[in-house]
Amino acid sequence: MDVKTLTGVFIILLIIVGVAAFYAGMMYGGGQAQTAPGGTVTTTVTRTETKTVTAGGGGGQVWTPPETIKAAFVYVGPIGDFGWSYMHDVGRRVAETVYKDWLKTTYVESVTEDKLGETIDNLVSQGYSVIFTTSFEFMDKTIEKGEQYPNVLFFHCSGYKRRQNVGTYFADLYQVYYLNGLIAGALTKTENIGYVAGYTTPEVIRHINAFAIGAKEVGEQLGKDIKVHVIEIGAWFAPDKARSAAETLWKQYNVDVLAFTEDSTAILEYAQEITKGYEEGKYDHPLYVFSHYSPGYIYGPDAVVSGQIVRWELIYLDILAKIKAGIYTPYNLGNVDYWYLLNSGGVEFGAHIYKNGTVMHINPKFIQTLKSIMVTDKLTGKKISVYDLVMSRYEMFKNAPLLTPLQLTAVTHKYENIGKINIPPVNPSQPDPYSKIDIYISTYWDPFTGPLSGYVKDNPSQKVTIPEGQRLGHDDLWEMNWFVDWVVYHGAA
Amino acid sequence: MVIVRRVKPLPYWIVPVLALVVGLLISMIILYVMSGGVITPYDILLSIYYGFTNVGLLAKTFALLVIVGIGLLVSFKGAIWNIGGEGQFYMGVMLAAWVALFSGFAFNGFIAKTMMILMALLAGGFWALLAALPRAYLNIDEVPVTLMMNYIAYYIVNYITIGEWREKQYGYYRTVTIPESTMFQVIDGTTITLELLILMITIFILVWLMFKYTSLGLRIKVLSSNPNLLRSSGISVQLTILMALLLSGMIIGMAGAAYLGSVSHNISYPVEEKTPGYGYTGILVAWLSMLELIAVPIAAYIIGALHTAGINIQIMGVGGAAVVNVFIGSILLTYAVLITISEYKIKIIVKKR
Repeated sequence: MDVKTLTGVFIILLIIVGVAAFYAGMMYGGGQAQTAPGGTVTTTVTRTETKTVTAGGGGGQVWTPPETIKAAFVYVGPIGDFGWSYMHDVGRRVAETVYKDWLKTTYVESVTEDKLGETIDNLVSQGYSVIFTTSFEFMDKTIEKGEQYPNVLFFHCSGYKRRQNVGTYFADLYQVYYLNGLIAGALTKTENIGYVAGYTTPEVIRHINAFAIGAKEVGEQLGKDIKVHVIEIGAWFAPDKARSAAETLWKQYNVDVLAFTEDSTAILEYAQEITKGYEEGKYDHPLYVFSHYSPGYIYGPDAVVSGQIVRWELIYLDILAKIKAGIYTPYNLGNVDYWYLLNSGGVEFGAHIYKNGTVMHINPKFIQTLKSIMVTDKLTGKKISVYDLVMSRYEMFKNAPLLTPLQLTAVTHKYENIGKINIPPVNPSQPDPYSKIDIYISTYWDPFTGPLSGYVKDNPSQKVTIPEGQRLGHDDLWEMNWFVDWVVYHGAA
Repeated sequence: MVIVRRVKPLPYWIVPVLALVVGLLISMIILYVMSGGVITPYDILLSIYYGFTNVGLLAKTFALLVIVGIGLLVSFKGAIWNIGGEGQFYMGVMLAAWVALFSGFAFNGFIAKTMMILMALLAGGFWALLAALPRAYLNIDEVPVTLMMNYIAYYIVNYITIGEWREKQYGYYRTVTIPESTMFQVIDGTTITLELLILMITIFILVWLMFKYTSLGLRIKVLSSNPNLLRSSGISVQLTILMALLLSGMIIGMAGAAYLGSVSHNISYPVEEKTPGYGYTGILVAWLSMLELIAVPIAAYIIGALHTAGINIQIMGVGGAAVVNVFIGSILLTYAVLITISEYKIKIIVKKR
């Protein structure tokens, strides 16, 4: 090609691209014009805010929820992880389907902490006024961006820092891990139980401890010396690392039951492989596993015993409804802090959800075994099967109707470990039947009740002792930095 | 088939412009096919339009790319191919982080920020010097050396991030966030910070002055075309090489400090995965500018806009995280091909028996 043809081709290309870009721009501009009412709302808000500030601050800011709420979800992993991010996206899709009249959502996946800032900048500039950031390490950046965009509502999952336009929410699994632990204690033959941890944040430490407490409760009665081996892999989503950590636990530490906190299905698939091999007589011990966050039974029908399932949609439906109704505004999220347990339905104990929506709590393959192992329920002193023990504890956790309202705000968490109360009669001289009834605020019993002893993770020589009968509160659980004594922390892989 | 050098090269502006257009067309095709028709060229044009028109959004990327681009340009002008921008950048980030977190200067924002920039400047310069010395005195090619120094820098930063500097509270593989007083001041409605803007303008003016009025600028320019001329006029070629790379590293190091103060606010492991890649993208900026200082901001603007467009495609819910790289990669590839075509032409000669 000589210069002339080349220039000619180039000019033609330029014209084509230019015209196309022009039309694209026109269409886009039209789109913006449609969202103009939203824009007006924002300006009104800014003006109102300035007014209030000059008036001396305080409450009373007016915020009108937009006609169409645009909500964006920022995920730390790919939505295809079939774990944490996948379940958040399920929640998003449920909310969008239910509230289709006024809700528009989008998501951004595989966002690392350092890309979060520009992702939020982009979302805000496109008019998203509700942003959910769904990873613990997004906490500081979310607060920072909250300051930068005071008229946007942010909700950060699993953190503890809030401000007037940044609320927090979490659905915690420690009760479910405890139930899983009871089963693990019954099933293990090598007496070595494993746990693959993404990081050892307080959340994961709490889950490891709950799992270990459950395992020991049953294991001890069966004369087993339970050890829980923990390997930390240093990532939330890392299928390869998770798999090799599981392999180390199974091979090196003789682990035959495993739980984990990692966002992929790699461990389930590995456990299925090993258990299948064990049943064919290839290996001397199996690897039973508890699926994490999503109904992972389908990835290991022979190896998955039970697991933890989350229902983020419960929280997303609630938050978005309250935004639409004008209850949540960018000025009053400072104490919004969801902390959902089994009682609210935000989490579920099980490994599979059938097509009709019912939950498979325990893989049918293991039910007979669990029914045949007898233990004493330490709460009632009765001799029952492990299966019945697990199910009765599950019922106990589910049945705490008064706990739910306390789980919604940062100011009421401190009441969550009140066991039961009695209300005083109005007039002491007159008999009042209700004043004699025990009113249960929290669950009847909690796994984190003393006596417990442990050691601080970063300083194993420092011991922690929880005296007999003391029940840990929300803040103790939330800041947990110690392992119970029978947890062996093998450090980062 | 033979390849012949063109007697008269194509007009020089045609290559970068054509590279952009063809590169974008290629990315459209790639994305269309890879996404199974989900990402249409229309989506991409929409995103690109959006990227180009949202000045506030691209400001931060733009400013950092201008600084890194200018830094690289200083050495490229002297035909010293500094591929080590990433390493110099991260050495700057590391030293700036040290100032912000551990030096004790954080009590005063102004002193701390000045120190961050100065230390980053020294760190970047030092890192470039390590490649410049063997280049100047042992005549070891700077391209592989600077490139490998990137990885050394990554691993040093990784080592210190997961070791000594790792945040203790939750055990995440990263440093703690730098104190509020050391964070650069965001300009309202944009993503850029005041300090970054000032830094960019200052560097631009200083480098412009250097090439326009100083003998060092002239020496660097002559270095690329005719080092023997330098030698015969009694000027040390070694010293010129050293200076070109040193300056280049210093400027890029400062971009590192600006990145820490304006954007990341901490260092997160593993650096080689978390890096914004400005050290490499900067090479594209410098090349697209055809090594003309004035054109660096234009090239940086285009790349910044494409970067925003990439994120935007992701937000539209149709693309993955790698869209930005598809854009940048296609353009760079097209550029490399076109620059060859502009200097050489391919003739097919059919031999007659």
